[in-house]
Amino acid sequence: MSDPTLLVLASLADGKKHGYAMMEDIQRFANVRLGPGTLYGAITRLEQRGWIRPVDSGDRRRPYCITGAGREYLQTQLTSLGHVVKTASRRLKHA
Amino acid sequence: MRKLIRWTARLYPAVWRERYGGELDALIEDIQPQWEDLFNVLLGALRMQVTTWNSLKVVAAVTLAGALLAGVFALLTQERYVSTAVMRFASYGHADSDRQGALDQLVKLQQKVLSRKSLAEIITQPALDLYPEDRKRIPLEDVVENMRNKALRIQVAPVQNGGVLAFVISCEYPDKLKAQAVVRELVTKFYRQWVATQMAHGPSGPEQLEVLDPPSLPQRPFFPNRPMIVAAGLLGGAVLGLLAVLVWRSATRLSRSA
Repeated sequence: MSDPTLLVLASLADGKKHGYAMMEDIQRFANVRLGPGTLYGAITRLEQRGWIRPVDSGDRRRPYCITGAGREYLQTQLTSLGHVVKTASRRLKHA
Repeated sequence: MRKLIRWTARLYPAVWRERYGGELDALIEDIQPQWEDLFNVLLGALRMQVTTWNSLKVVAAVTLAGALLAGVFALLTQERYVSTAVMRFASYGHADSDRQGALDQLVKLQQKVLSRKSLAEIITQPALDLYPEDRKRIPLEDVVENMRNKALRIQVAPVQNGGVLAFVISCEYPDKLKAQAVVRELVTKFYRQWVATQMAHGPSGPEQLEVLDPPSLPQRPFFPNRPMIVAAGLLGGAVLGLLAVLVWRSATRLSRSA
């Protein structure tokens, strides 16, 4: 899985994080290093769609949290991905 | 490297930088910068520029790019000039049979004047030295064939006063003086062949072969027509820009509804 928007949503699923924390987290759980341009491209799109929102902070390292709509979208995507994983695993076993 | 990436981040649109610029700068300060981060930020800035542009800006940019590309193509394309001469078979009988006889004569003369030997003589004349690059790459026979099929043209022209049959000889070449010289050679060869035929078989058909218009010295190249190419580039760019906007809008609508 390398879709930056899904990775960002997955990273924010357990709580708010700022850009660098997201990068580190994604690298850890998905073994994918998102570049600064890719990360902020995804953050921009996700905020425009209302799936994440910035948390008030005086710091330049502004944290983001996932919204209800974002959580719902992530859940839908994971369910769909789960079906693909199950099907592929079953087929691999019978191949 | 960090400095370079921060400088590259300034390429993001002003509106975007106002909202996210500080955060991106903070992130660049936190990471261990790599070369790929530089390209990543550059690509991100370009994408963001395109997404924040309105349709008019996209169409204008693609139109301008089309015109620029066409301009470069027009400048790099080699110029080609066409020289022409008009000859005619003159007869004082004005009979239909004279015209048919003249046509037969023209076909026979053309076969000899445009023969392999005749054109090879013209190509290899030291004063002309035509197609020097082609002659290094391909056999002379092929150069002759190309010249006959692509550069030379003999066309029957509308009948003029006092004439039975007129025809236009034209040659296309990157050098206007050489184009004119080739047509001059062809006119001479036509005339010599006609005289030789008359002497060998006795007078038959039209009474005279004469030059109506001498070989012209072209002032302007017939190709490339640079203003036309740039105009085509502008038009093509505008159409492409409109298509890009339509595709972009459809893709955005689809991804939002997904």
